[in-house]
Amino acid sequence: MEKIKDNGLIQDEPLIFEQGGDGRKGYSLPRWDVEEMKPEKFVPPSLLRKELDDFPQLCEVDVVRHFTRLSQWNYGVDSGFYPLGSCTMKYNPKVNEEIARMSGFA
Amino acid sequence: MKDFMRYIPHTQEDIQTMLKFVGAKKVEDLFEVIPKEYRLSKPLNLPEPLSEPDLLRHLQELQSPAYSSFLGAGAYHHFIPSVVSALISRSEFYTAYTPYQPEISQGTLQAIFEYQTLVCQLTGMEVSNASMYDGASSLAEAVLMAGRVTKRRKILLSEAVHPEYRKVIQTYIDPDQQEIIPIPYKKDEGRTDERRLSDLLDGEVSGVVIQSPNFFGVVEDLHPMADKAHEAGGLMIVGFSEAVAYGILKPPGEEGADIVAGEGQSFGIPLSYGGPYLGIFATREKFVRNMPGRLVGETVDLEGKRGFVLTLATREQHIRRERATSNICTNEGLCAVMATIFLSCLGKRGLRELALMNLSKAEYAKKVASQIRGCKLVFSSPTFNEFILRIQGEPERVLEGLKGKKILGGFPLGRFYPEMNHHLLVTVTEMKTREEIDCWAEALEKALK
Repeated sequence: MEKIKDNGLIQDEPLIFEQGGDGRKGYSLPRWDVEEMKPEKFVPPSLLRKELDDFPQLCEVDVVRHFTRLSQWNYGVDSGFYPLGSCTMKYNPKVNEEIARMSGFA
Repeated sequence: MKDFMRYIPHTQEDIQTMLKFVGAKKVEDLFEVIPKEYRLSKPLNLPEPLSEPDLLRHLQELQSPAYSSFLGAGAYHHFIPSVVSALISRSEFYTAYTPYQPEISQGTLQAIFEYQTLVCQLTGMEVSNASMYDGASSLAEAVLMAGRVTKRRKILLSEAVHPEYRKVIQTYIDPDQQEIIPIPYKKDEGRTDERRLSDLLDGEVSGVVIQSPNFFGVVEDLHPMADKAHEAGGLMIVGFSEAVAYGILKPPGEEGADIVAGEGQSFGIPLSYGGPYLGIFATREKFVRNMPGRLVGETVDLEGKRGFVLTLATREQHIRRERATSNICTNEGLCAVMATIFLSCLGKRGLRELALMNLSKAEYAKKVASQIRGCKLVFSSPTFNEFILRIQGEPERVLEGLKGKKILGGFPLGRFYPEMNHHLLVTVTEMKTREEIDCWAEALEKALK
């Protein structure tokens, strides 16, 4: 049996809070088909927050690259045998993933 | 030995080589240690295995049909960006739920560190753990923690907290024989009765548990209740089941919360018939040694580069069982990563806009519903994306009528609140179009005639 060489990559990946920039967005919400309400009209201002100050602002490609790089820093069961722990995922058929994601079940 | 050969790579040749090496003639010989009378002598009575294409076809047929659902009550239908599914399909994320070996799981550790940080920013708290199972067990753990911190044995629990969360709390404290004292809600406002709360507070209460938005969708006024709890020497525990609300609601940390424990399913986790979900748990720095669950901390490696590890593990794992905080020794690792990716996509503006859209759509539905004969909005208090309707008609019959039109019209409250047996809890998220809301209202009107 040949030895599986898996040195992996060592990433030097900044946190999401250290990336992105003001105005970047990576989301797409449904169309506004009702009137946009001002929360102050319905909830007393004392119960409302100001901005989500330190939350990141990233665009889609920032998010994808960040988490892809993070994943490459891990060892996974698709790379090789992972015998550690009774509660680690063992190899599961890919068809299971597809079925679990079908909209009629998920 | 047919189709599963795909997943077990050994060929007949490999098997023969291995048998020869260990000195056995056939595979059955390896099971000789099991007495013959206990060994299976015939195949199990199961149908033939399906091929992959047949399996897919079969399951596609088994799927539920699509309904227009106005259900919530602890599980919410929100949009999940495609990015989430694409990224967490990477086996590097879904293999090890817990990063025991930091050398091969820096990716997971950093992602969870980012998750913990986002939770603190969202809730206004100082430290978050790496997640719990779900909102119910997270809240139950918060109750246990309050007992540990204050060394008291009574907990005041609002009746406007999710009824199933309350049942789970009961289950958790029963073996310890602690006492739950219910705080009633104000029948006209749908909020916790803070005057009754004052009456019930004394020097034996470890904490007060309030959910906001509560089970009726109503936004609670937390600050005064937190003050009262603190005056009596107890902790303020704030629960939630709809995390998106904190896109616009004041973080409980700024309202005097000592522990925040709730459900994160709304952040990019599908409904999936009830699970897996995501328990969020956060507290103040001074209580960290009493906090249950995993905790990821920042450190440096041998080269002085930033790295992440599980920290303060002797709270709950590498310690005698009786001395441990919770023994949970796990977390919803993948779900926490999903939530992190979701919040990274939405970001500062997106979460706020998502919350505003939920509020706006629900307010539209409330307006439309209030114009239906036989339908009444019950509480005038502020709500987020859920509200209660009182209907003139048997809820079960009315809902059956709507179901026939492929609409799940709402959740009948009578099951949990016998005094509200003509009431429906209706949930409207950003996923409901204006047309759907109009259809729902029209169907409701017809069913009430």
